[in-house]
Amino acid sequence: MCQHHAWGFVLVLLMLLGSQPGVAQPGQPSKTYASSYSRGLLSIEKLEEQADSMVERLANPGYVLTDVGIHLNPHSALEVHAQMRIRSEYGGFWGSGLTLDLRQMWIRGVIDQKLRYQIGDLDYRLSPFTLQQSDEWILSTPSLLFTPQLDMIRYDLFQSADLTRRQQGIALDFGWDLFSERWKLASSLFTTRLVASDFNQTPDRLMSGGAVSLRNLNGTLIRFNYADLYDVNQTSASSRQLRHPVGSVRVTLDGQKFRKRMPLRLETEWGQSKLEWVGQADAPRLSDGFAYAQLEYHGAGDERILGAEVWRVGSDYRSAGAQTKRIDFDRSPATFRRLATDDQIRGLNMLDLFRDGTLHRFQVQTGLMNYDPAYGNALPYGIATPNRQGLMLHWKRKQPAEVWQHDVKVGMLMDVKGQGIAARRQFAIAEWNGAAPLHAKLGWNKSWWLRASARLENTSRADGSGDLIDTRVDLTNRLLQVQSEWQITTDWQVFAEWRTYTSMGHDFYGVRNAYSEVIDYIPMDMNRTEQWSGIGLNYRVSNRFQAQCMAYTYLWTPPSEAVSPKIRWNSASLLLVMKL
Amino acid sequence: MQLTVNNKPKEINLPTKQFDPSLVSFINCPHMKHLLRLPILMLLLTYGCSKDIPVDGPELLDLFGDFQVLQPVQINQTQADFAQGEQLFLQARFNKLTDWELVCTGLNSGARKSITGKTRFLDSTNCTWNGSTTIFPMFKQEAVEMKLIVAEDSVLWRDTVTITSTRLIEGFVVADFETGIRPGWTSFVQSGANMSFVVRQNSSAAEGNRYYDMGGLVNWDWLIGMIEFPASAYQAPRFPLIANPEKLYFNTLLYLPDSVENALLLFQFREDDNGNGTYEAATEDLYSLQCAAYTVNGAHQRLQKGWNKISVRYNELVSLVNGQPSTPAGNGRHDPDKLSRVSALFLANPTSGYSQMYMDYIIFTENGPLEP
Repeated sequence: MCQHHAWGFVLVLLMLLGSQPGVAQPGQPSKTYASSYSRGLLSIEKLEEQADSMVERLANPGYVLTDVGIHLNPHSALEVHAQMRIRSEYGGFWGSGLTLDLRQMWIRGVIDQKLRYQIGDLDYRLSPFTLQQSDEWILSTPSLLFTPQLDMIRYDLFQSADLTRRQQGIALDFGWDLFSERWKLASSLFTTRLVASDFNQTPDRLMSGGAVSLRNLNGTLIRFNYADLYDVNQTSASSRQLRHPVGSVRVTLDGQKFRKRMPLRLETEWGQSKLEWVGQADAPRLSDGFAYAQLEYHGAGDERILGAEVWRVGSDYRSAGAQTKRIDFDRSPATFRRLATDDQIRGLNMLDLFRDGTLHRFQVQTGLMNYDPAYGNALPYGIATPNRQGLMLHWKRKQPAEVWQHDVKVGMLMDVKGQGIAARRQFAIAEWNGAAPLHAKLGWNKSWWLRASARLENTSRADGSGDLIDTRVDLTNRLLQVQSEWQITTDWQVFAEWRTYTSMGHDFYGVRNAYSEVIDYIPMDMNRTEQWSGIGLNYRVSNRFQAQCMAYTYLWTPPSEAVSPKIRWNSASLLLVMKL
Repeated sequence: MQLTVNNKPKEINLPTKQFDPSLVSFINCPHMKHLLRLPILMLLLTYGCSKDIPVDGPELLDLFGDFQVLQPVQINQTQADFAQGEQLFLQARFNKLTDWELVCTGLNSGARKSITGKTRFLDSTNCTWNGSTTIFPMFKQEAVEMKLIVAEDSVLWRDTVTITSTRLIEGFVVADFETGIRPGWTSFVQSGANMSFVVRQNSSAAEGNRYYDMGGLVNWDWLIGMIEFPASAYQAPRFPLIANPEKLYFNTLLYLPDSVENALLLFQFREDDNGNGTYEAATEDLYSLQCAAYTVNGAHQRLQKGWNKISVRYNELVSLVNGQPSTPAGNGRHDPDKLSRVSALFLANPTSGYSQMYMDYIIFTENGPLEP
């Protein structure tokens, strides 16, 4: 047996030892039904470039699409699902703008009331350090103007709220009761194919792994996670093969389930990773680990939550399943791709990140993707970002709808190893979100909320090399947002939003090679300001129908108009989303 | 008890006792005291497993710092007897990782050797010259100018050294043309116009002072002329080569004049598979190598203007019929120890006009290509 599969073998052994089979959930009753999702978008875009002279351009993109899904239940223990997407671009000539795709397909069921399986498209998650999507820092503050469009992208790319990753393959779930039913064992195994062989130099690339969970009656959960990304030998002419196993152990203690109930919850995780290319002598072999612990105090029945996280991720820790970013910063925007003033490719801005689906991706990628320090420098790869250690505190208060709502998060992080110099960078993170129910103060029947958010991220490093070179780092990313939402009738709301975002300062961005090693640095001097403001009208009936009409202005101020022009982007759009 | 098959078993309702929100009582719980040590232990373990290297990536000073010479450049000697295995090397120390290039130029031959690196220091491990050549012709017994070029400082150091003897190259030399046409070689030359299948003496020879000049205009046939090197010319039925085709390299130096676009040199390697002393086309292997000034069908080496070093591993020679890949007629195995004849056929499209090419230094080397 290959060494890199040894962990998987151990996991399988753990599942087989000392256990007795349990009883599976019964399947759904026999039936056939259809589901659908439809949406349409029409917008008028006007881009003004303010350099030596004013240049204006217009665009009127729009489309309508519908996803039609068929669910077949031949019998109670089997379900087959296929979903087709029909999309029509407005203005397509003789159907040239019309596309028809098979969007997803899976088969799932239960065998002998013991083993549950799913084949085809599947959404899978293990833990934040092994296999899970992390959110992008810049996108995690909700926007009334653009979150509906971001939700469309998330839907298109199967980015669900539970942070699963969409893959194609097979997954199996099964479980047992152990030790006179005091412990429950649940296990899950999967194998997915990420890259198909071209029968030349590209081999089949698979990801396999799973989890084994042991949960006892006292609220203790011990979970072993394992994910292995690897190339399959002899599926191509290349002798070079990727090996990338990641394993972790996660222990959760829930004090509220102890006999003597405690308002505390402790989560810990520890793991190791390895990344190597077998058959390539000059390729590195990266191996490192991480440790994580979170302690939360749940007061007054979860109304007040105070938590502290402490963690450390080694500089060579690699986990493709956890570190693959949602945004591909190497891509170019789809709308107004080139500036008219100098014909250069327009750089990405915050508006693009919220609206442009071509910048987002869901495929797992080996190594570390590029990122823009202006849009998140402390944790660009989520909590699994390599070369970070730190402490994060969060406080959240859930209160009735007529009372002020708050949540606060602050953190101090630090490089594990200095980048390019022994002195390490420090990262300060602060975040505050508040919501004021003005209707409660004014005694109105219809709701009127005023919300505000402030986020700050600072990167700093003192000069550590004397007079030879200035290695100081001081980069601050700052977001301020104010929103207001008025309910006119039960289904109609009017809203307004203003947001400003600045990125100022200096850092050295680490350029990585194909093996994700830092090989160079780019001095990054940030001095950009972005701002948007807009109003809109929203019509919503439960979660099944939403129509939104809005108009907004976006301003991009570059560090110098000699580098790129100042941009004013005006837009009005109408979108409809229907789920049946 | 019923157990679900997914990862979310049903919650189990325990008999509730008096709720105690006190953090103190929580920590005083004997089990929790023990378990709270777990995260601390894990963090310590991870710290313990971390590597000792304090810096991730190259040092900023190496990339952005000012260049300084900490130890001046010195050369180990000013005369080199390369034939005796002597080597020249530089010594120096810089304050940062530095891109450098050592350029050696033969003041008589014009030969050049370039050695590049990116290091903080120069010494015998990274900046040694053994008399080999990067740009032809090869070095002769002559004075050589040596320059060290540093990206930040242009020419940092310059000196002149003397080559008292050129380096010896290990291998079986089929032809270097230094003594003219060897007895036993055979040639055929068409009766075309401006034919020049002769050995010429010229300081621009890639190796030594002589090379073989092939040229002419033949407007009725592809073949302009050829020269053959039978093993018998070396007083042996077969060339004295090793049997392993993976470790043997065929090398030669070819010159393509600036004005020539139609030259094609076809090397043929005939093996006496049955050992009867005669090559039999119907039952024995013939392998080929095409070297052309243009793209041709089948495996070939594309030539650039000026001198070209051609090095091909013997087992990468192909079987060709009229320029197209084919199955060998013999045992289909590359057997260099059975090689009985090497032929060089100079070809050109008969409608393409005059063609010319120079050939020099045909040599078989073991365990690696020719290092001129």
